[in-house]
Amino acid sequence: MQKHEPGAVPPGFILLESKSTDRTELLFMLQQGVYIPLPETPVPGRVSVTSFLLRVLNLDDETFRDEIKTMMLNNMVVDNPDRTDLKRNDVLIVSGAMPGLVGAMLRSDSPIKVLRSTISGENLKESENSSLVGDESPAFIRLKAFNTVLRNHMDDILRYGVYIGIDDEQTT
Amino acid sequence: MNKLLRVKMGKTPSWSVEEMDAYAGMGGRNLTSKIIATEVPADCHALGPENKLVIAPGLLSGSAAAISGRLSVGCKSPLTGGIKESNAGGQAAQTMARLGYGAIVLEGEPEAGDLFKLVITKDEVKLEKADDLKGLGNYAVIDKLRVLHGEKAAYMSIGQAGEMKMASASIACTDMELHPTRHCGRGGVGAVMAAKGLKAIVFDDEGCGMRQPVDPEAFKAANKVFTKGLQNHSVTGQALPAYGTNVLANIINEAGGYPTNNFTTGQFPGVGRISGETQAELEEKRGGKATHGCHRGCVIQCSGIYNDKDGKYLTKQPEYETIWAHGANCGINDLDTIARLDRMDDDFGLDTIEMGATIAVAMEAGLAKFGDGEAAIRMVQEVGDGTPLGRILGAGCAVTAKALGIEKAPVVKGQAMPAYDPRPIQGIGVTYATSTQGADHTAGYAIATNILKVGGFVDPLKPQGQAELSRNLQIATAAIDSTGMCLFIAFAVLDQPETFQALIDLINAFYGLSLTADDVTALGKSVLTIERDFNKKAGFTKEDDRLPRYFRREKLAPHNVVFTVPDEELDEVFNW
Repeated sequence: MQKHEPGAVPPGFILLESKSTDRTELLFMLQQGVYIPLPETPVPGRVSVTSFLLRVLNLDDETFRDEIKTMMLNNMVVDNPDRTDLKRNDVLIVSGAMPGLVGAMLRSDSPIKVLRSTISGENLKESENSSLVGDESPAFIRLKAFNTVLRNHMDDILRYGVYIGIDDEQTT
Repeated sequence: MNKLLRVKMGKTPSWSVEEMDAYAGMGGRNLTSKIIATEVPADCHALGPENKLVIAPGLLSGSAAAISGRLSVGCKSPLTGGIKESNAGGQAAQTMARLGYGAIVLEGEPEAGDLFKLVITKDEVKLEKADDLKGLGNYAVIDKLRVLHGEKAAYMSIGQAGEMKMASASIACTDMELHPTRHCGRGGVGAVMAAKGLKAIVFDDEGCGMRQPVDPEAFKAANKVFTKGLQNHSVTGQALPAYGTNVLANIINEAGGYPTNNFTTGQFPGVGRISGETQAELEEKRGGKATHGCHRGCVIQCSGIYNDKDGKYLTKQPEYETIWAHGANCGINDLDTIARLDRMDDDFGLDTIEMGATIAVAMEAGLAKFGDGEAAIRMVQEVGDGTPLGRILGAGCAVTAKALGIEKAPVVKGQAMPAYDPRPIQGIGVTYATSTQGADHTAGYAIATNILKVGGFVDPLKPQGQAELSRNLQIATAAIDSTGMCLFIAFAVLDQPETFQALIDLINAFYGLSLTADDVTALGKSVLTIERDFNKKAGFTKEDDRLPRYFRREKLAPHNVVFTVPDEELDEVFNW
């Protein structure tokens, strides 16, 4: 995996600077998703959902378990974030606990997860992530934050800078 | 709550106050369904004199128990043809319970054209002609009534849709600000109230105190634990107060289960513009509220106040189902348009889910393009005006689809599906299909499966049958619906055994009982058994416990899946 150099804007991306105190567009942008470079890890080509979120959300492990109740990867529910690895261009959703029966179903490792087995991500295997190895271009994850995570961790997500796609900027 | 008020409409309307007798000790959905099943012939016409409308607060309504202000309304439904329990928040349950009434039963049939209001105070009951309220929307009705009966009373009313006996007509309950925004929405209960000749009910509880528990100390202690459990839980203490139920929009969209353009796809590109997070930001920016209770004693505060662009009150914070129904399902991504539709629904007295689903069907039929907000507003206006098209739309999604030649009506037992597509989230489809109420997202809402241990303990590490889980969820929900507690307590109850125990302790301390979790389970089963039996007598068979065929045929993006739960498994849900 190629380390991304700060300040280098990859093709297809633009860098936005905002001095406004109105956070409406930032809130909207984080719901739509921002691109975050994958970090270097001790094991080349392996970045778990947990390790990525601990870093991006500036959380310790215990707080992570308490606060992050709902995660989705490419429209599939993540039930085991420790063993689910990220790959280039993945879309990762992070949220607190959601209300409603379906909200409860969608929680990671929900006791009623069988009710949404069609969209359970238990089949996401490490082997699918081989695309992280051997590709020299910067690897990004599109992160979307909802619910209490959006409220509590907006600054954490933004602190190292994020990228948005040109198409996304046009929609905002 | 030891009194039953029976109002008999006819040539000379009358009323009587009776003892609860055989219905003593019952509340909420348990009571409404029991009375309907006992006193209403299942094969009667829903708008005929044999049907009855039953109004009942929950077991703990009117007490100091936190969040105990749900009101149940029951009848044979003109929308589904089966039994119906529709419940709402607002102030009506608390005031009715403090007035000492466990139930109001409306029966018979008025003289043609007669319209009444029922006024209940501490010392008397009055049934008065209400000709001055004819043809008015709920907001105008309450404006008139509050002048006569004061700011402290609670009100129930029907709008024009009810008066026209539309199958999607609701009954409005006023909130703390006396806005008619809390609706017994589903199943056409407003049409049945109109069929009884009743436009409004006034509950004036001046001089009535809080209902007192048998064991005040134990009750106070249980209430403290219960309240703390709700406030500490991440859903009831954080997500719902901050964003309301519409916090679900983004995540259901990501799951690919956010029905869009009449259930033709599972993701809506404009979801970020109508999400709970965006909505809360907008409400606060305009001087409204993103955190607000729908009745006194609510500690979750999942509602809010939605102001227009000029900062003036427009409506309450529209809920997730409403924003989806009038938003994504109709391709509309503008919160102000959706809020206007919500206001119109509340005023005309319409179920927002049914109306949104109906307009989407009309859009598919070519009456307007998906995304055309002004066209949606025009259609709801036609419903309120009672034009020929409006009459068809007001009859609901299934009738509209039939009238316009559309196959894809997302209904079960004639009632429109709520905001979760059952193809990617198949478990909700099991509940939609088998619920006694028609397609209903709240029928299996109480997720207390492991704590209640209904139908056996569910091991989270082992796959369980979807039928078994759906059954357990429906049992638990039926029990909670009988307490008068808001269903949102279910989240804290799922994760925190002490909160569930506190709920049982509250009931025990209030009534001097010693109920256990098994008794709660038995209550839920009893309610469902009564309702299933009524529906069977009304002509329902297992073939009615099915989703429309096209959900097994038409794949839904982005997962490109169909509903696959076998009929045999659906038939097992109520096999106990």
